[in-house]
Amino acid sequence: MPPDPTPTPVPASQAPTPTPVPASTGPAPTPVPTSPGPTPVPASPAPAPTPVPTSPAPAPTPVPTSPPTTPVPTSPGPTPVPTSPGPAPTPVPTSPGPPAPTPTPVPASPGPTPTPVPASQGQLGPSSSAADAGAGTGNVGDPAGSCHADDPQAEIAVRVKTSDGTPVEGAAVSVVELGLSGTTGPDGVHDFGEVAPGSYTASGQKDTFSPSGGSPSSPASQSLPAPAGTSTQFELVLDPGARISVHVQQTDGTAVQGATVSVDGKGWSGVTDASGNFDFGAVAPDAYTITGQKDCFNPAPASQTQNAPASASTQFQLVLDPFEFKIQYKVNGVWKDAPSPLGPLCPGSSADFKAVITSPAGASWPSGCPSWGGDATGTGAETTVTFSSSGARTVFAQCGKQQKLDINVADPNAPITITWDHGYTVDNNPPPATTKERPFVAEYEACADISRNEWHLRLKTIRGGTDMAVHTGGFQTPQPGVNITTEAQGAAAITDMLRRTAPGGAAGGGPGTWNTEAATATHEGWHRDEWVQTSEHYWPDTETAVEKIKVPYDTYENDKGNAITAMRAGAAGADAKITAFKDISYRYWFTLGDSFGDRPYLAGGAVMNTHIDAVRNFGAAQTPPWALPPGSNPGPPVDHCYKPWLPYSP
Amino acid sequence: MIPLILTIVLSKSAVATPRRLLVDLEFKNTSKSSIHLLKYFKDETNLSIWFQLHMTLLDGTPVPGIRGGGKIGLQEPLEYVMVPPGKTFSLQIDFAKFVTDLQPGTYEMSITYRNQYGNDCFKGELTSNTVVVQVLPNPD
Repeated sequence: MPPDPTPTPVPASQAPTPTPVPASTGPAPTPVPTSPGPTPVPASPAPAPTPVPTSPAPAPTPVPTSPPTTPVPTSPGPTPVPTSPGPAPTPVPTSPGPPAPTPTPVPASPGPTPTPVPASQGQLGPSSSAADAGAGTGNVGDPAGSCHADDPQAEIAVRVKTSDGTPVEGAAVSVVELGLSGTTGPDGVHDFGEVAPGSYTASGQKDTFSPSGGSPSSPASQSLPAPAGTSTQFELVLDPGARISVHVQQTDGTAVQGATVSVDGKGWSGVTDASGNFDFGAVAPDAYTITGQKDCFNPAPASQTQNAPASASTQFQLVLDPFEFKIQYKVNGVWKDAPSPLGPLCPGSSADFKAVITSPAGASWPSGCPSWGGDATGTGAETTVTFSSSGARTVFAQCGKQQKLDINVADPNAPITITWDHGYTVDNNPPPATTKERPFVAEYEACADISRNEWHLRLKTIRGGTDMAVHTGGFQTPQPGVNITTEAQGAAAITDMLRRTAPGGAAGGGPGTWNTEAATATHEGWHRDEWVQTSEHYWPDTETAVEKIKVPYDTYENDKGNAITAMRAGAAGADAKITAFKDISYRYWFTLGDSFGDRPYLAGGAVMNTHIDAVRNFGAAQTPPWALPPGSNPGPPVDHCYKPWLPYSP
Repeated sequence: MIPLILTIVLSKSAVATPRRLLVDLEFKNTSKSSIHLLKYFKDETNLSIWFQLHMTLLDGTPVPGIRGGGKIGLQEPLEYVMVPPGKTFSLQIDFAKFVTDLQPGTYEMSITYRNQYGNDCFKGELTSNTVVVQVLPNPD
């Protein structure tokens, strides 16, 4: 009968890489389960956790039952072999982690020769049933569950002992091919009972016990034929061992994950988990030296030697500290320590960066290290970054630890327009009304193009404005029916309002009685518009000139404030250009006429005409209608556009 | 040919400070005819319409925030001062009022006079000589 195909243990002889059973979690396998439970039997499709075979254990010679026709007694009742799909042996969860480290299997010592026990010695008792008595071929069970009365059976048991013959109780034993498991009793034996005849591999292990001279955590095992009608006892030797593990951390206590650890002279190695640990499992008591290393960590390697006594767990402690390094950047051909935050940098500009190891002295980067991130890409000591995105950016290098630079990248430069702020006041003081321009106030920004070793000046804002002051002292606004109630008042009001904006003698009669704030404000508002249009005409060239100003970056390394101050200063600096901008605007404004007949007066006259019309309409409605002066002020002006002509080369 | 020359001299009556920057101005008629100047020099609130102050540090950096320039709706009849040929007209102006937050230091200073108003008077602009002024801190 073939054995139950499920689970499918990997035959020891086919196992390409004897490997400890992976732990259920974590990247590193836990070679030896610490619980005294049943021996973990690899469950399919576990990635080949395979018991280490004892080799070359001499094959025992099964003692045939004699005579062949004698039925194989089953008393005192062999353990029935579970039939498929019977209860599965406890599977060992497979690990999703990285491949298990490969402690090099050390062949177990030949060990004691397994002793097949002849049936006549009582391993197989007399038949206790009539059916068995007549079988003749030793019908002791059928693990596949398809029992045929004529099939002779075999009995197998596993005994675990130490090299000096002491029974090992509590060892987890299993029959690999059958997926059977059990635990040895006080006599060191576990009896698996009747099984189908065949060749089997028995394995056994116990925490802190190891095969004599074996690799850590490897179970002892033995392969033997179990012919029909025989009772075969597997003999496994496990000696009290020592459990060794290693913890790797930095000086500050931070666990070091991913360090490669190995036992000198043994070839056993592994990789530490997130807690910095790796468990080699049970090994023979001895003094061991464990070394550990990791790229970009110092020392390379660290090591520690300890004695690992029997029946004890010994943890080795290794300290690995990451390289200390810094990031430099190239300024005008010279590598300098890069400040953080750095910038603002001009969008689209580039900079060269280099990761420099500061400790340990003389260390160099491993191949492919460090790796760059943030806006930087690639690996190796140096990288070049072009900053195409604005805002808060980073550049970092990582190997062992990370060094990061915070970098501010300016927004793309865009033309700015003048922000206007106009003031207006009115009071009863006597005229004249005035419109005065305010000084322009610029706010500056700067960005660095490190690869060109330049600071570039940028205009953030430009603010301008006017202050208009209207004084109504000495005149009053005509209000028909309120302060215009007689024909004489109406005539005087119209006469005053006509002469205020008319050329020649009409305007020369001194301050009149009648005027309006609205007309005056309109007149002054025209001046304001003149100033706005003139300034806006000259502004774009000014902005262009200002933003061509540069100073060397290395003179003001990462010092935007002083770079801006430098770019504002001097006869060719930004402040001088803003002053020149105001001067040219004012010089043109000064050329614009401000006399009777000029556009500001025409604009005011047009407003005055509405007041004249109001008085006339009121007078026309009187009985008899009032006789009022004819005429109106010229206007309004049709051309509200100014095209400055004074040449300007900021 | 401009028939007027504008010359400025720092007033010797007081040291220059951010709060007081007295300058003596002199218009000299270099023509053979009398010249009229608008006579609106006592209205301190509007002096910046006629006079523009230029101040720079010795490296050419201008002093920011200097007020000056503007338009004014003068009421007729206008007032004038007459400057005979070869004669001068002088006045003193405190230009500290033209500057916001003037800092102590050494400056180059000049004045531009501008006028576009009036009849039969000087219209145009005149720029003075440049003088060096050391502005001392305000006295406590």
